[in-house]
Amino acid sequence: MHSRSGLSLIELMIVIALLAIVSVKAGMVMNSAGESQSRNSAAIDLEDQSRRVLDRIAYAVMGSDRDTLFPDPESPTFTTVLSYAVSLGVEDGEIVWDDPEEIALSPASAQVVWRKKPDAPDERRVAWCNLVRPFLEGELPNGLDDNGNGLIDEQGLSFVLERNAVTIRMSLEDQIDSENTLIQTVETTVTIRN
Amino acid sequence: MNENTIDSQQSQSDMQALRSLGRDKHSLSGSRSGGVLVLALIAVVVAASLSVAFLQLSTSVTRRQVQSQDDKASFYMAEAGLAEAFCGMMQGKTGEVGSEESPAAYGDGLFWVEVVDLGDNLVRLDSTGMIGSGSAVLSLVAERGTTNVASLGVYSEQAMAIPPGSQLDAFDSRLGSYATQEANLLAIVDDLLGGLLLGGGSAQEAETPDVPDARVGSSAGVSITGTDALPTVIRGNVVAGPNETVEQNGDVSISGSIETASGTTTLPVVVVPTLAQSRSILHEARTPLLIQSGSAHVPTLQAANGTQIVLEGPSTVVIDRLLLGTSSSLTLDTTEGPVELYVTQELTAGSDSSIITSTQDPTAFSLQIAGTPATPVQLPSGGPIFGFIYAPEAKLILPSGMELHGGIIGDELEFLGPVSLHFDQYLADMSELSSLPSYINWRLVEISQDLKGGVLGLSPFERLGVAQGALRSPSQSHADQWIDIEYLDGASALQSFSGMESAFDWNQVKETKELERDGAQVPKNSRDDLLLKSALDDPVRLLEVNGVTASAEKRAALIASSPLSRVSLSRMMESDNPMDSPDVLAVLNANAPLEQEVIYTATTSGALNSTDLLTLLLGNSPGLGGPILTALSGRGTPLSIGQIATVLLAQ
Repeated sequence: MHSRSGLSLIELMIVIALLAIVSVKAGMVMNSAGESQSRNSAAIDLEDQSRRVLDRIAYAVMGSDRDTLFPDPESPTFTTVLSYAVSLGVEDGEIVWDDPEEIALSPASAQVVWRKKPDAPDERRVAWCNLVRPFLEGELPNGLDDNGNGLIDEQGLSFVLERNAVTIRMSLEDQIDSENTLIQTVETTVTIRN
Repeated sequence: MNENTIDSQQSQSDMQALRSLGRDKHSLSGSRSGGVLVLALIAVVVAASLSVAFLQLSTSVTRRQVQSQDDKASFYMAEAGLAEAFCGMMQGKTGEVGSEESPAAYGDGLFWVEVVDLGDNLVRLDSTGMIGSGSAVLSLVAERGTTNVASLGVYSEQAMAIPPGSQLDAFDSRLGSYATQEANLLAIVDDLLGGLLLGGGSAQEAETPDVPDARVGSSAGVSITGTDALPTVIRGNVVAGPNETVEQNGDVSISGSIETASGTTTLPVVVVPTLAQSRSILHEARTPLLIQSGSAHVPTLQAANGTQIVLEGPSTVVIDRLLLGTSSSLTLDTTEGPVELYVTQELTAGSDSSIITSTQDPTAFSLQIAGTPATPVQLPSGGPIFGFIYAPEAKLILPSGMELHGGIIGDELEFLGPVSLHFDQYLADMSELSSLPSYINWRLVEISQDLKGGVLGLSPFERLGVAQGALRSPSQSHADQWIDIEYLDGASALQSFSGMESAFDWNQVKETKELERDGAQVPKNSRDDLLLKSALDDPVRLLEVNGVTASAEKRAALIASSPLSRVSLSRMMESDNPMDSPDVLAVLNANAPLEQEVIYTATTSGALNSTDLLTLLLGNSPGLGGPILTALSGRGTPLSIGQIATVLLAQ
């Protein structure tokens, strides 16, 4: 008898079809996992970035003098610009203050901008982060306190002063694709040490 | 038969065909051709690569998050260090907690605080906190509390003798005048006694009054005398100096405690403000002289007999010589503010003169006498005086019948007769507040990450090379601790001390018997470690602590440890267990060239006999200083004239 090696056409087509189905399924799973990983990664990055910037702002404000904080809006109003001076220590019995600094929201570029010696010829300027929302999460520009935090129409970066404490709120928004948007809101209250 | 054969042959043929078919099948399966394994391998490699990529991403994200957490935790660790140091300062400690070599362990991290003296009573506390891979340094500037002695009440450096008929008690000026509080107290006591004192029940409710205690003390002994006719009443506490006693003679009543101080009290000197000097004033007119509020330095302010001078507050006045004539008065108008009066040279109050304050607020007037006047300060007998009198270097004479509301402190208090001194508790409370440190400035110095040695970094203990179990807690890590110690000194006499360790000289300790640090018993091994640690810098002390007495053994050890410091060499020559003269000379020669102070000690101490001293002096000549040459003749065992001449000729 002759040996029957090889595959018939039907068998081959069936195998190809099965392989195609498995591959497509595997691809869909991989794609889904990849998208999920990408979203999680983006969310973690956004949270990480927002926390870092918040900590940076907090450390800067902590070492300032309450009398140098400007503007000075007591709660329930807020400001998106905070001017202050940080202590460099004590020399000859007197406190030495660094050059004035400013942290402000730049709505046009959606950035938190830090400036040293603002408006001076030798001004230093650093963008601490991008992706700042125009308004805090849950807040709409309608003259109402939509998110119930006691502030009206507060912007993506806001400072509220209450005696020796500053509450800093910030919302970042990242459009990861046409359908998905990530929003991260962080808030902290720091006590001014000087 | 043939059919069977045919059937048999057919069946055999079928069997062969079947077998061949089977062999073909086997051949088909045995050929093992195909690419499944390769595909499987490719799939595994792809999956593994993706897994590694995801793992790396995950690790990177985790690392960033852990770093961020460690940064924040380190910040709070450093803040904990500042809090611990500041608390220590409030307890009178230096504020130094641990060190980089021996930090304080706190949870999974550690911290230490260094103190930098900025002068003007300002200190900077630099706190370093480390946890995980993070570290943070925070800095706080604080002003140390000032030593305020007002809480001492009635106090003298020298021995105090309180005469019969005196009354020393206390009140609180925030609750009203002394008279009001006394009347209220009397009424309450009368009510408790059912009207026995005042002849009838009073309207006061029988509440237990919260009466402050008088504070009477001295750095020396206190002697209190009373008689049946003139009993002495002290409604409060009496404290004698270290190793001194409170002596009571006759009818004496002390309602509070009688104690002996465990340590000495140092009275700070009066710091007189520098003010522009004006002209001297002699007031002779019958109308009062008004000196308006402000600051002034008057060389001499003299009120003639029967005249009145008014000092208007708020004011700070420095007077070199304050002279109050007979029946004259110095009125302090404290209505608008306090009056601070400084006297630098002389205060003389004639008979029936007085110092009067317009308000009965002891905190509104202070009289501070700087230095030691040529004559004792005679305080006026008129009054009562409402204020605080402070003369740490002067003798104050309190006339008979003097009444003071506030406090009085002097180098010596001499009572010419019975006095009434009413201590104001408010002065004590104000004093305790000002003795606390105050917070001036805070700043963040640095927050950094240290990732030495690994993906997530070493622990802070590994980074510093310390064992976590060997570190002390924050409260135990203060550089300054309150110690209660019983010990044998160099003469093997039992001694005791209670106070801050910074004020204790470990050099005088030969052996510790009992030791408590901040209230906790220190085990013997740890005590020995403390003793050894203090002696490590001084080989001579180390020999004492280790009980080495043989002169030759000491000689060998000290020569091996040479060069020795001037202090060590001096201690060797002045030791209670002296070495033999040749051994002393050998050690000194091993430390040549010698400082003049060491040669002087060798000359005066008697550690060397005449022959060895001559050898030493000639070996260090020329160049011997005048004091050494002068001391040659003044030794306990003087050199001979010939030896002295030899030394002099060698110069």
